[in-house]
Amino acid sequence: MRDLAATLTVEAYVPAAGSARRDAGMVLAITVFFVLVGLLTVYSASSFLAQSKGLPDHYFLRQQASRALVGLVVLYVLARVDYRIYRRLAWPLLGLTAAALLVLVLPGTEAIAPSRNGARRWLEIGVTVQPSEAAKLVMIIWAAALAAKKGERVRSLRWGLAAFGVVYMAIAFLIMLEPDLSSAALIGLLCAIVLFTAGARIGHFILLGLLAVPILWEYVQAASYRMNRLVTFLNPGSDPTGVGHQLKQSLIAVGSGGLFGVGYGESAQKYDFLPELHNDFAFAIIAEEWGLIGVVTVVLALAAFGFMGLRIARRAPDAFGFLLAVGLTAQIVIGALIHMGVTLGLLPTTGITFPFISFGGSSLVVSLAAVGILLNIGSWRA
Amino acid sequence: MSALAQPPRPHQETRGPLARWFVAVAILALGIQFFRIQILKHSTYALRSDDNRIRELRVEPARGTLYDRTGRVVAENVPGYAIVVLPLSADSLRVALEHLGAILGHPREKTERLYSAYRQHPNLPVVVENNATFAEVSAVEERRAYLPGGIVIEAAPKRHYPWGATLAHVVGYVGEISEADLALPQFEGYEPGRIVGQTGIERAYDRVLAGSPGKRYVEVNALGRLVGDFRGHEKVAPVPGSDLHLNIDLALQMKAAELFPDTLAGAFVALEPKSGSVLVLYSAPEFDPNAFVGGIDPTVWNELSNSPGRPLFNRAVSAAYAPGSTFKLVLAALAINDGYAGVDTRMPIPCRGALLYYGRVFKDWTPIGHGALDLNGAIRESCDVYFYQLGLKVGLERILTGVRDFGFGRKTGIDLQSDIAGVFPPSSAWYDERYGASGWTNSVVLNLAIGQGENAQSVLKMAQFYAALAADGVLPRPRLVKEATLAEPAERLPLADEQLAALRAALVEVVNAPSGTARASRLARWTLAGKTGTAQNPHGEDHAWFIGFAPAEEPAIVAAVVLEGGGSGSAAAAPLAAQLIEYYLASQSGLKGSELAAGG
Repeated sequence: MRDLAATLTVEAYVPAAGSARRDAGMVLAITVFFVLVGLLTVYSASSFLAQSKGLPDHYFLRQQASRALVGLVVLYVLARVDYRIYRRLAWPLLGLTAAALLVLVLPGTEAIAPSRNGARRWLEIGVTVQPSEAAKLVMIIWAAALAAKKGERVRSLRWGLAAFGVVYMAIAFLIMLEPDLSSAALIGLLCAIVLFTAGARIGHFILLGLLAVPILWEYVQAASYRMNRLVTFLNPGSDPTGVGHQLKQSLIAVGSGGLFGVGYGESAQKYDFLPELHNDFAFAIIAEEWGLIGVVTVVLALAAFGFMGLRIARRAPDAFGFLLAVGLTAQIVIGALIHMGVTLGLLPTTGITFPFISFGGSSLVVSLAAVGILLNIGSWRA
Repeated sequence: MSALAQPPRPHQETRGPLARWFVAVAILALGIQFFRIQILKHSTYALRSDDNRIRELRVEPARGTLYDRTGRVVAENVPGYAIVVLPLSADSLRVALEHLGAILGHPREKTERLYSAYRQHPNLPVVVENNATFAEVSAVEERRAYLPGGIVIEAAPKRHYPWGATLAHVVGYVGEISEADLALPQFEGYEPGRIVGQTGIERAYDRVLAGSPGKRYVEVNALGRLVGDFRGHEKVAPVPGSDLHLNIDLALQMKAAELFPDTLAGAFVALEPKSGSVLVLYSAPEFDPNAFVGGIDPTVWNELSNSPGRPLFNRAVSAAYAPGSTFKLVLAALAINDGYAGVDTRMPIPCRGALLYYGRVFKDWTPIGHGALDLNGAIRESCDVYFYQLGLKVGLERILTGVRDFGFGRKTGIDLQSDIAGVFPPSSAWYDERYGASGWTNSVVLNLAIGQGENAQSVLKMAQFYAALAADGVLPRPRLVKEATLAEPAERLPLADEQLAALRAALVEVVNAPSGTARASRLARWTLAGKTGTAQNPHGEDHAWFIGFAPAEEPAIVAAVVLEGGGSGSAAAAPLAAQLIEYYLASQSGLKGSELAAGG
């Protein structure tokens, strides 16, 4: 407990010097840039929606801005908390997350975990939180901690990957019960990246992947909308008014943007043509309003974020820091890549948010928390 | 803490490049796709984005105003509302139409008709009601929150006919274009939902009156609800239709309507002999054209179309009546022209009240008979026996072909689409075809000669012929609209001036000579010339005819009237035409009714 107390003191924070500090500064700058782009996009995309619901046009903007503020405070605090504390907090955090996920699937808890659009993904405890968003961060921390502890043993199936598999399956199972397949799959991918970085064998992933196929297939078939999404992805013209509608409208948004975009606030697709556009299709609005110029700017910023994040990882003082930084960087970059892939129809339609940009408090706060931890790792001298 | 500060392991070194490749490929794939969609396919998607949300709405042009010859408005536009549904999916449209149908009290069939019309033109807005009342518009607006999206209320000028029934058959009325009309070359380029002329001037001059609709663009959301005007496309202002001036004299038309017996059907036509300007075109019974504007109430429609008087039928232009004795002038003109007779030619058999022809008795209208008459006298007294013989003398074949030189057997050329050619056999082969070669005899010529038999003409056609007699032999093209230009030069009757003068003199005697059939209708101030007709009607009372013109020396007006079942032409028809002519001439010379009486 003394260690824990020590790590929580501000004195433990030793500012890094030189390039490491510049990396952290860049990461922070890009993050702030993304948050601002997000606020602009949310306002443009949601003002019509807000008005059509009889709310002021800035209703969603204000919600997003207040959460961004909370998230930046979290970032600031976490940037000053020694990241090594998470090695010890990994299991307790995992337990807490599992408990929260359990509440979502248990019967009788509808009062704090209501069903919205047929899914129970949100906990309403004064504020509305989405435990599966938090689970992304927690699972990365836990995977990094375990992999760092196991060291070379991650290369063995029995002592390495199997243990991860069991815990992951349990968490993923809870998330899939919400149901939220895409989050479960993304968490699996992020954990796999951490483990892969730690040295786990590719063959093992393939083996686990093959084991998962029948389970996933069963799951996809069980819900017709998932099947529809998959079929639509494989054959985009098959259902232009139903599931294909979102993708079609997303492509129209992106395509009509052209090189320079239609201009900020001029998006035509926001008039409900593109459902969920302020979260699942936020990037489509950016592509429409700012054109390829805007897309390239965002993608370059994202690439820079990834580059800086990985540099921070390489300079991390220990294996845990290294793995954690890789995982956190992946969380942001992979999430954004998947979101863009969905926007373009390169991936099946899933509800993956663009970190910082998509509307949604949990996603925003968790992403900013991840950056906070990343900045702290970057602040240590290797 | 053993894992702290471990050096990178060898297998981690190979994973760095792998991860970099993976990220590079992902970004490259995204980049290619963004470039493909945003640059290469940009125009396609931009168009689809427009299709998504921009709807074109027609802006109805103001229809041209119609004036009578004295400048009085006879058809105008008053403010109105149209209720339009923007193109939606079939299901949403059905829901919208059903809701609106319930609010507006439309019958089920109307909703079905609109729905099927939409299915044929799925990209056009559906005009649910083009003549909504303020109450209906309010009812829709009140319920807007519960109604499906895409319902738009637009200001749409509405047609109004201030003189109602009096000019119904001249002006006609407007209504929504029918599917059948859309296929006509006349309405090429018109869209469903357009308001077009259905009858009368409104129809004949629709291209002139309609103007061209403008366009405006609105933006809608995914539910079809109106978001607002779309400023990206330029609005196209509607071009208002051109105004037209009728040759109709509204006061005279009203006088004709007033003179016409309320209980009878028939028609009244008056022309300016030289110009062919139509001064009066009245058909009885009449109807109120305002009832048709914006779609007629089905019960009113049933009443109008099932009424035995057939008020929608334009008897002045489209009805073919046996012309009776009024046709004797055609035969007289033909005979004079061919040299079979002059005005002083007598027929071999004097009139004793009937003519025996091959064992068949052909009666004169008076059993007393007219005695021996020349052509002039036969016209004056309308002697049937004389004309039976004249008909035989000219011969069937010559009559059948000859009347064509006098304008018969073809349309009058009036600027109305309901113009008819009348009935007159083109050749004797026509009789063979109809009755068989042995099924008819030469006696048909006797009937033709007195305007009976296979001889039916419109009132307008007869008026046209008398106008030619009145005016130097030129067959005028009847014209309702002043602005109408004539493409072809007018035809002439093949009569010399003195022949025309002789015929006119005979017509003067009909009204003014002591034995004239229309003597009771002579005018005090002017010399009226004309001819009575009493056409046999197989269905009842005779049809009464009179066609006259005045002043005989310098005719200013030709009037023709037919009264279905009116009885004798001299008793029933001649006084009406005489009064109309007198009224017109008096107003032309600035006389008032009192002065007229004093002068008489």
